[in-house]
Amino acid sequence: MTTVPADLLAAGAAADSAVTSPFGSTLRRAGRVLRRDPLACLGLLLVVLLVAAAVLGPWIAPYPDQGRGVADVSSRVQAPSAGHWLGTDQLGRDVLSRIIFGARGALLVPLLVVGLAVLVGVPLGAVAGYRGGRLDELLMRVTDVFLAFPPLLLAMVAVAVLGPSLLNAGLALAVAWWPWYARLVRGVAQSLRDRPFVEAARAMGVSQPRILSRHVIRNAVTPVMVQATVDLGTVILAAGALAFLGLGAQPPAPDWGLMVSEGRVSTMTAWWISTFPGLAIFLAVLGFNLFGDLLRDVLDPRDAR
Amino acid sequence: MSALLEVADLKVEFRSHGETTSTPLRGIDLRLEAGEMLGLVGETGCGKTLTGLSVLRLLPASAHATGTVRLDGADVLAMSGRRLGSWRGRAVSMVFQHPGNAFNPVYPVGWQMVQVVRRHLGLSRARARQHVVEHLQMVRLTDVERVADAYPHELSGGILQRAMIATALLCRPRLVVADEPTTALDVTIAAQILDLLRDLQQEHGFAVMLITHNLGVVRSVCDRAAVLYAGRVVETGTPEQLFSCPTHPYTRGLLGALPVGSARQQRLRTIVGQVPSDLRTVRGCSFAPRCPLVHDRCLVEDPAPVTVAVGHDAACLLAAGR
Repeated sequence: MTTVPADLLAAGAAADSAVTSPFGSTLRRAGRVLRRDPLACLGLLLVVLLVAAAVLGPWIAPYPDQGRGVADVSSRVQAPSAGHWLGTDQLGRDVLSRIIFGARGALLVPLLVVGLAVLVGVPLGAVAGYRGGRLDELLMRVTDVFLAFPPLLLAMVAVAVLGPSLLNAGLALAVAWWPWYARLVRGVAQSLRDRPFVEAARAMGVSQPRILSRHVIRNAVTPVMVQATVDLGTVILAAGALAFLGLGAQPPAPDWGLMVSEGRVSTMTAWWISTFPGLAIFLAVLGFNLFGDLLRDVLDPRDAR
Repeated sequence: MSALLEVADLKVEFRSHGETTSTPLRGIDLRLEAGEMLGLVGETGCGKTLTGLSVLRLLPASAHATGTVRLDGADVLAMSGRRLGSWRGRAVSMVFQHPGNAFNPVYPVGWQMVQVVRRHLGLSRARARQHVVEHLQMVRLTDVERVADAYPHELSGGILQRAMIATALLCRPRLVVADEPTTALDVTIAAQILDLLRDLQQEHGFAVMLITHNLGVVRSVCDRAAVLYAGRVVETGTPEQLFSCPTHPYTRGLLGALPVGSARQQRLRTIVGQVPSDLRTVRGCSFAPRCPLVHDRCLVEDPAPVTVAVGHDAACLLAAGR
């Protein structure tokens, strides 16, 4: 990425003076937003922590083997202590190590889901919005069908068909997620369709696929990126819910939703088994949401407060 | 000899759900010889821009065009979509009104021009870049490398309009449609742009359809002019003919509305009324409701163009009566 476009979602004259800036000035603006907005700093910190845990998991976890799922019957259900900062679960596994190992799934699943949703939704939305007419009607009715079901319900049905596993949960969520991107990009494409530079491109004989990729999708990058970041958090939550219901990751995989589920029977006696993975989910979602806000402020200076 | 561009009985209708909602062009007839500069004049809503867009078949999806548009022997309205893509930008190109909006804000200007060159001329990246730079020099820009690498918002309107003219000429089209190319610019820059367009036209021999609402512009640069009113050509002729003996009352009205000398002396004269917004129901002469010389026949009879002098036609019953 060398440049970042201003958000062109809003039609009209304001967008015409939209500022495009080289990467350097984007970093400068990020610095400004971070100095001014402590929540943005928190968001960045949480995302960095999550990424660090995902990448460095095996090296920083205090009990790597237990993180992977090896039981230690000698230390079952121990409260948080110096040896096990966040306690141990019913199989004696260190909760902190499990959470750190779970970070990888917590990061990869949303990336997979949002990635697939973007890959499918963005081109369809761009074509629908740019072409309009019957094709638009058709594609939008299809998205309507998908949007008519609650995403989680749709994902549960898909998992029920595919069989429960982390990968299938991801695919199922992607099925439920792409229509949102199609809708988002369709709106952008519609507002771009009649913009003079798109007309000028047509007047110069630029082909339709090129107009779609170079002009329409390129100008939809910012809103899609912001939406995608916020969705990463939402997908963690949804994947957690699926795992909790036994439709996502399967034991002994270190999955946060699964851990909450495993600990739920003993919440009253051993609160730490469910609480800390739940807290991890909460912080990851919060982190992605705040990070999304940060991204929006940086990429779209017009919205800056 | 057949003309470079022939527009005959061009009608454009807007349709919504199978129903005609408006008929902005009601039978345009135009001829444009190779290397000629034709001015298209009229008030807002007369169909000037729509005529220009029709020549490139850039009409919105809801518009429906009938009649003939022949450019260099090619039937524009019958062209396939694929053919249209390789034809636009190559045989004909367009200069738009607001240069600031006509370039994509997220790419450098030169990059966008290179895309056009590569599409139509199939040059290598380096050759295309060279081609673009040459054309930026051709429109008398200095510091062309900087202009080529700049984003549209980093350049002034005048420079952008020059860059757009350069873009339009990249593939040496035979016709350039310029839709009010100077409206968004201040007066001194506008004059420079017009001079540039005129010089390039004479140097390279392409034809220009210059859409404008400014009769002064027509007089200073055009070879011929067509006055449009309510979706029809009401008078054509050389600028001298139109200025020295305007025949259609509408042309006279437009000339009367030009500021003369120091504009302070008197209030500008205007043509009373507005262009009719719904042309579906017009009977007789469309200008009749605003015409100072209107008489009974005007309300029922639709005037056909008559020749008043060599190369000077007017569509007015009074012209026919003389």
